[in-house]
Amino acid sequence: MNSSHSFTMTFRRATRLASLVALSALCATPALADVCVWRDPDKTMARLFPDARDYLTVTKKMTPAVGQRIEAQLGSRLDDSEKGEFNFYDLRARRNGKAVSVGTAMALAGRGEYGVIEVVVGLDRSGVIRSVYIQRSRERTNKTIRSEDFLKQFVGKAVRDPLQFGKDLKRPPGADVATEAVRVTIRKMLLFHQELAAEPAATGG
Amino acid sequence: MRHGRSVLLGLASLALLTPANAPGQALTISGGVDLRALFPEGSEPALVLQGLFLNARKVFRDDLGDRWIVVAQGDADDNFTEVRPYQLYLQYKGPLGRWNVRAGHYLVPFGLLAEYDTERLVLTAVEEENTGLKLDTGIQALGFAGAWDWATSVSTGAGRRWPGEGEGTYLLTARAGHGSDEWRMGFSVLLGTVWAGDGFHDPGVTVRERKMALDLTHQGGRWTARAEVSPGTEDGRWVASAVALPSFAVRPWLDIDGRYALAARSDTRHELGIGATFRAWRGWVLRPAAILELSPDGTTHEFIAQLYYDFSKSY
Repeated sequence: MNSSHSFTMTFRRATRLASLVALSALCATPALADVCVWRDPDKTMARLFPDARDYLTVTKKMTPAVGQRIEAQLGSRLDDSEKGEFNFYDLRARRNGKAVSVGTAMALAGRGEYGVIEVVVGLDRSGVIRSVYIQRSRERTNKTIRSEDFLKQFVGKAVRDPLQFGKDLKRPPGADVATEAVRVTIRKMLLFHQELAAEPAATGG
Repeated sequence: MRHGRSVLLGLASLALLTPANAPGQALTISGGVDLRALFPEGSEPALVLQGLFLNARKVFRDDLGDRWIVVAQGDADDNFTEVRPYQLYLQYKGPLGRWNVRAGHYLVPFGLLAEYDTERLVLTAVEEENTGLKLDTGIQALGFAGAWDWATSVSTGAGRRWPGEGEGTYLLTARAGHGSDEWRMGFSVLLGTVWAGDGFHDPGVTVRERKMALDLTHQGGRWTARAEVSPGTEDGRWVASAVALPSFAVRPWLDIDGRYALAARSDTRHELGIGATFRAWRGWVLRPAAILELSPDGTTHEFIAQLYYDFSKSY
């Protein structure tokens, strides 16, 4: 292969690559790297909702206006990766021959001291937390944030509750960063549920 | 390569031409780019597009739940010299995913690969070196019961070739796993005659394999460790492979990663690797790594720097 032919091939490949990268960038939201990748969602949902028969994935887009409303109630900024879209999992069962919703599961990655803390919550049909599960955490204080004493404080809470340490939650000693990350992540998910549940689904839910 | 492009176009059509905005149907497009600077010992440095991939995942549902899943992914690898499907399958999902049936071109459920694909990492597992393939075309059943999960597959053994080009190959694999949030363990068996792909020590030949694998994953605090040991036979000769992949979270944006791999055939080869994962900015990841290979022929080393980006968007 002579050098001019080789150059032409390289140039063509580079052009093709540039086009594909540009196309990818147009489609892109910075989602995958930061947002929790929910491993074994089926297993987790079977654990959180033993009464459910199945689930529907419902993807909701977050408009800037909704994002601002959530940030105002949260009192802090959302991460860029949280402003694109969010998945709800509508847990369903069959009652009297009809498929009905029995609750909602959500998963979100909080920012711990050493990486993401992947938190899953299950809500009943009225939006009250019925279970919380720490799927993955790389914190030194894993035992604390996974302890029943810490997590059961969130059960029965809803978006109307302050969900603040010193008010309706007790902070376990020695795990300030991780427990705060879990608290904020759960609060975000409750706000997402409140603000996005009524929005039209991106994927028809 | 022309063949590959046709496949990719077919995949894109399959995923994109279905009505994305019809009620209850989700289409997720994800993709990414994997650029690498290679500094091998004794060769010129090179900058390569290791991979560029696009994945479409579409879910069709009934009134109770997500029911049919179509996954179509195409990869352009090695500076576009290989354009081919990476995964292309149709999956029927039973209630809550307790059981599923998958048909098409998919990752073979054997060892760590059943749960963890290192395709876009620099420090990888050893499935292709060990078995000669990581993807195959066939039918797979998979699911879970309590803390147990299982998968079994019957496939052509042709790997990434067209299924009809298998030349008498076939492959049976099965894996049973058990675990908690911190520990997961799996036991796999593999039986068949496969066409060995590029990653194999002797690529482009058919090999009769009888292998098993024990895989282990531990996620405890800042440490994540994965390991696999896989003894067996190739054309009646005993062989063994092993890999260990530890990773330590230094900060949220920095992991230190390691790799040890062993391949014992007519000779014994070891590979040691150490690297880092920097989550640099908005989904961009930088992974530098140094790899040392020890074999009876001598010692070689290579330095690799990867720039990686991926995205995902639903329609």
